[in-house]
Amino acid sequence: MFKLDKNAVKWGSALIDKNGPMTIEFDLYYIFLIVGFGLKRSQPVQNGSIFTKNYPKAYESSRHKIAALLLYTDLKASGFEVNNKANVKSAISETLSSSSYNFISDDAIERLNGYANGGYHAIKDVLPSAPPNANIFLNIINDEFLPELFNF
Amino acid sequence: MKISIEQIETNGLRCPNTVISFKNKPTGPVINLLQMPNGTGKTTIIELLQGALTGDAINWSPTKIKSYARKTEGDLAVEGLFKLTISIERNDKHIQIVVFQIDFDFHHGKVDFFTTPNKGAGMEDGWSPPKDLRQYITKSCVEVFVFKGDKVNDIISPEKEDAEVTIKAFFGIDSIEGFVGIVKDNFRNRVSQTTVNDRNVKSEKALLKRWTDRYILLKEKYEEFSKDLVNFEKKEKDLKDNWGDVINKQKGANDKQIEIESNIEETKNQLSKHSSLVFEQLKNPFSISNNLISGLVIMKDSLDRMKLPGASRTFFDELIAEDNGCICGRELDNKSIQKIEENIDSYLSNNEINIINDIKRGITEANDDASIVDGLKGLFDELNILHESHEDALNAKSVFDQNAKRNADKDGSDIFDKLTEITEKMVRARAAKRNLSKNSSLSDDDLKRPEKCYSYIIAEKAQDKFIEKIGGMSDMLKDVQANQILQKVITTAKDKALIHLKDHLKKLTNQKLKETLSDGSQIEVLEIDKFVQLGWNNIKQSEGSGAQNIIVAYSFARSVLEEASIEFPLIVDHPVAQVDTANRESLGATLASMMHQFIGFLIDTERPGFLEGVNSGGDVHYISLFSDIKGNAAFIDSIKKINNDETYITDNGYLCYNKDFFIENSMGVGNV
Repeated sequence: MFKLDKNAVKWGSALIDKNGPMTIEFDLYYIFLIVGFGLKRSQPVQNGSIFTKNYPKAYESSRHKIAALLLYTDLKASGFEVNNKANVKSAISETLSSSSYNFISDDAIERLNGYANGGYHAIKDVLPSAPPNANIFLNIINDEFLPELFNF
Repeated sequence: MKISIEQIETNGLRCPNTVISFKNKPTGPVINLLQMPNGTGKTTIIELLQGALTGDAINWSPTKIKSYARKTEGDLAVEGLFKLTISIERNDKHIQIVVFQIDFDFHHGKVDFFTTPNKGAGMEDGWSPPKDLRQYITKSCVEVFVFKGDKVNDIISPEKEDAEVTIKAFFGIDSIEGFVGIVKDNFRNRVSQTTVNDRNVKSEKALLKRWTDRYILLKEKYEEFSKDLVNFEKKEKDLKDNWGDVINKQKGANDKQIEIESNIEETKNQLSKHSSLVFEQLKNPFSISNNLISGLVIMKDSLDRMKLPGASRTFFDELIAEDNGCICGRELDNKSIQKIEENIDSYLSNNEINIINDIKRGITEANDDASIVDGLKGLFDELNILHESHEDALNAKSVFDQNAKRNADKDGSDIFDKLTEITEKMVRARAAKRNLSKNSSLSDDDLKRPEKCYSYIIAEKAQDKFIEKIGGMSDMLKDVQANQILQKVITTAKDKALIHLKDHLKKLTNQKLKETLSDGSQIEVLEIDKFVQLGWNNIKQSEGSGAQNIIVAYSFARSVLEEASIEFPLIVDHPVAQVDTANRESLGATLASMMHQFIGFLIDTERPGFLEGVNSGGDVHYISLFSDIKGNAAFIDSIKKINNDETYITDNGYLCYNKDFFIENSMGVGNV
């Protein structure tokens, strides 16, 4: 179950707009997620609000890429080398699930939720309240965060 | 079923006493253009037409009724009449004439409503159109083909829900929603009235009561804000018109304002299109950083070296399932099968290997595409520039408004302040509506605190949870389950029907757009949900050009009517007010293909280009209507030269069906 902290949903509610670039809650989740991945920042979701069970259609083609980032970030965050075959194999068995539409197991989705929550907190540290719309938000993400992501 | 407007008769109302006949033909379209000087009662006629057709006039308030009274030298008319005659042609080609009549008693603020359901039959009290027409002439349905105010923009505006409201009304979805509501309410009442003496049930029932009270409160607030918003929108429109008049008085200000506003629209559109493009690209997370790609390539090397064991897992799965012994010929005993089953999970299934291969392919593609990261960076840079341009345009508007306010007199300056105030109120009301209708999941903690809930949707969900819980604790479990199944069946059927309709209408609207728009017009309907989402090649845009927006709105209306197998006239107040002169001609030429009967209420500023277009497009019926007042002396002189057969003079007005008169005498804003 994809979950966001209730405060995160509240924080970003003005960014979701049917007529803007971010139209669904998953769009907000995705931005939080890539920031959480890129900063290796994960925080468990305490007061979560479930908003979808599966990836929305717009993210269908990104499923395997997000799974790859989870594998990669988990390995890096645990201090394991990504060129170690055994580490990678063990990470795969803990992460991938062929029986799930999402390509990853329920446990892995919980870890994904942790990274998204970590990303939310990282963004909130810089922006205590959300910008008025998603256009400005994307500009800030580009200026303040993208250059800092995946520098590990 | 084809419905046409045949005639409108007015007497004692805020428009000249007259009988206007509209044209239509058994086959082929007719365009009826009606011009009237400003203040002659265009809006009155359209409102009365809607009130008569829908029967809504029966419920008008005394103030509204009195507002239609004709004022002559300070005295209000005592009584008035509005008569609408329509024709209904069914498949058997039989034509039925139906008359709706509103008799006004202005003195008491009352109306008497009559219907003549068949020509020759007697008048009946009240609104009683033929049964097969009723469902299509409700208030929401009539708004589909009567375009007034900002209707064109409302269909494509995310702030409104006009597209969905239209679909729900036309195809009976709102009746199903009403039915689900009744089922829910009845069951809630039943559960809350159960008399179980268990302490736990009592405490749950007390919580349910708190949730029900909360729901009622929040729903009332939501309705209140919705009502406020409708009033604010009306006021905003009037204030905008008044502010426009203030600007018109300032030399050169009108042109400047048009330039600034079109610049805002243009930069907003560019920004909206481009930010969608950026976000689409950002959905490929491998485009974020070169460093990430390098790291992923190293991980891919490990995946390559793992020599993924192909179909091993499938092989062992089949070996056990087929029960033909081991590949080496030995019999597979239970111990061997158990051992294989214990180890089988350490092998990857074909599906897992497919996922890994997809991951590897994605990494390779990102690594091979030298421009992937720079491409995203470039798009972000451009977004930044577009954002600044839009900010500049907004700032220019703010400076312009402040200057215009400074140059205005006291009344003008007050209008500006009121407009600013109403705009802020609208923003707050919209935000409140959004918050009051939010949807999210409920934790056990949330369920204990109804007073902390601020959304009626969530409060309704909480009520359902308690009903289920109480039902389970009492002896109503089976009833609860049956009720849930019933609600689910109806709701699922309704939701699926709505999705299907929206998708189908999207296709129909796009087909019509293709037929109507000129080649190379980059606009299409991407999605129909609450509103019609425009865009091109999956990139959203908030709106098209003025002409494109109109064609989208008309095409959507036509699609809805076509799907419902019914034809109505298209009735439009100011058909091309928002279209630049260059595009009016082509829009005018395409109108004939829109509906079998078009009735447009036109003003002088809309004529250039448009008249040339409609002339080339089809059979046009020109109508001019004006009051017998000094200000119209030029028209009165001119009408005297027209053939009597085409001119009708009443006690307070003139009606003329002559084309040359229409072309030569321009009526509208210039004749206030």
